[in-house]
Amino acid sequence: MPELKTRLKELRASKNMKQGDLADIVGVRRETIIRLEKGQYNPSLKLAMDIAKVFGVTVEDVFSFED
Amino acid sequence: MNSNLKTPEEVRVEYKKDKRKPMSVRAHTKVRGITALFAGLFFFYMVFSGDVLGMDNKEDDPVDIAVMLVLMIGMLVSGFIWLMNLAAYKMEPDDEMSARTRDKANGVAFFVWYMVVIPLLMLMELVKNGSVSQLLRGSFYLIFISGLLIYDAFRHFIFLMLDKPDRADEEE
Repeated sequence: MPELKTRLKELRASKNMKQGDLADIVGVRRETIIRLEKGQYNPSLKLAMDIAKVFGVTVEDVFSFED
Repeated sequence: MNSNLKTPEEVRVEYKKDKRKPMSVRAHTKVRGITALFAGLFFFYMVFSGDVLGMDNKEDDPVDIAVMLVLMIGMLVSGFIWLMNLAAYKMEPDDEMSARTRDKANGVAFFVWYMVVIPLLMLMELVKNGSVSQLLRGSFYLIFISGLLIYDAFRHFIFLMLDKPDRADEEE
């Protein structure tokens, strides 16, 4: 099964943003951001796009699947 | 269509506007679960205990009275705390992950509850023929209400288990 890889933590650090700040902006709980960063949760397309928009990158730049 | 139905985005916007202190999804799920558990056990115990309300004119069992009191006080106190929290805090709404977890928890709770109840009823019927219908005839509403409340408590606790944060989940 393909594994979800994410650059979320790295992108967030580059913007000096806390998990809670990002959670507030995209309208989810901090726990969701934590699970996303660990690759334990597959986000909806809307959430993935909202997160990508925050960092000004494409969805593929944030999330990818690896076999 | 009901115009009062709000989208998750609208609910989140209202939540952000609210000036009260926030209460996390896990915290208010915990209070609701505890209240439902006390209420469910209270009604369940009413079915199988002696008649504490004294309508059968028999002498009451002190153990029955004590257990009923504990459950009733637990139900009232946790219910009161829940209501006070509703007034004092803004309840954090579910996001997409917690909504998905909640759906999963509801399903698991439903399955677990039926896996407990059905064998129990079958066992009762095996031990004494006709005991289930006799029980349902006498206390159907109490059993129905306690069943719903205990299921409600189950689904909240299973949600808390599935949503359990890791120890390393600290603010970064």
